[in-house]
Amino acid sequence: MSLTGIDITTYPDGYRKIIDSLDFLPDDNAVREKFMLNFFKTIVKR
Amino acid sequence: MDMKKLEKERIDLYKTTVKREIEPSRILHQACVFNWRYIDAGYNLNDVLCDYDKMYDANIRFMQQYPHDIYPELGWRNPLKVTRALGNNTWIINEAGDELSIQDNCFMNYDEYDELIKDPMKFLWEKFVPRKNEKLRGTDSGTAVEVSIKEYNELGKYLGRITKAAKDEFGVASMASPSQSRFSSYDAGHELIFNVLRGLKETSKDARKDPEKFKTAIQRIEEVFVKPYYDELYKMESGSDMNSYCDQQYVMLSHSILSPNQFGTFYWPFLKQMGDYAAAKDKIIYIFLESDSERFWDYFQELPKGHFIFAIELDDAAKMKKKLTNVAIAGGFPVFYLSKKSPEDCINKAKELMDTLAPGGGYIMQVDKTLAFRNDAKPENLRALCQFMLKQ
Repeated sequence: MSLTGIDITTYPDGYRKIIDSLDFLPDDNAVREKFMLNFFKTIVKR
Repeated sequence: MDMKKLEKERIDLYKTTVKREIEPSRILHQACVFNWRYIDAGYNLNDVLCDYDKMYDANIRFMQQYPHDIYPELGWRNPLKVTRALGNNTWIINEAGDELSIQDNCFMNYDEYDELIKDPMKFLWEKFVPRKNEKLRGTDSGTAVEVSIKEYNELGKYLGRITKAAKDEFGVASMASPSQSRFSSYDAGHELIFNVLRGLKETSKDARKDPEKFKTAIQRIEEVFVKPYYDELYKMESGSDMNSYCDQQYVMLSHSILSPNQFGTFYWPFLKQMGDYAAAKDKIIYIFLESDSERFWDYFQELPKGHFIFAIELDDAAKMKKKLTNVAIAGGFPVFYLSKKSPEDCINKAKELMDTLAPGGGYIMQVDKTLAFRNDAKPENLRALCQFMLKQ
């Protein structure tokens, strides 16, 4: 995964860039979106 | 001792306790401990919360020295490495390294409700997230996210390791089903606004200022965060996960500022949806119910019987158990016994509570406030209570 130097502050484009970078996960959009939502919820609430 | 057998026995006892159909053969003892365990193990919170080997060591030692049947929290609560990587400094650890606190923050202005309602995800991502996380404001925000996701994965590995150790070495099952893990505290719109966006003071004012707009915001948040989740859950198989105590683990805090009428409008629809799901799919829901809740018990009576367990804080356990015959209760042991009394006093109090609360089932022993600070418990008192509960 590499997001170095990338601006991810917009929604949905920046958010999508993160999902697309999650190459440690299977190449399955549903799996990556679920992971991202869990991560997002963690940083929102914590 | 056969740990698999012990784990199965505990899971069966837990589910029997929640069902409230027959009396379980013994009363389970549930831990309610946050940072006390790290302080008791001799760690500085700044070190232990940022070092998973130390966190693992402290939790193993806690389970060895203070054996409970259930540990709802083994390290997920304060993911400091994940949040600090983003420049989130809302959690404060004191100089001595033995107290952690969080400020009542307000990250959203009142005039931004319309923006939140229009697109909750866009608002949270573009406005709230950068306000809370100073490294997510600029063109290099991707770097911070990359580091944070790596830390998030490390946290996940740690949680896998400690959960396996709890199971293999202590016969303690996972608290909630991994298949239900997307469900989390603050998914309720009112909790999100209260805990995350507007803070205690402003949330309380907002609910009175424009109740319709406030309600709409709650509904929109739940449409985004809750509805898709239930759509998915209803497609999954019925029945409680037999490898964990409960199916879902949830925290309620924001009800503490609501009147019964406000609760009916702003919170109950979320809880009712949870109850409908639990009944339809035969699931067990654990709710850590902070503060007091007696004024909402008429609502709670409508929850389906045998599917909910409330871990209570300020509520009267005996009164609640008598009134709410549909739910199970964990709690009731006064934490000041652990800090001020003798080991014998603690054991006598546990006996007294069990005489009152155990008959008929539906009760799990637990302290009435989370052990968070050094003086919340004398080690010898907690040890005596744990030993007594295991032998009863």
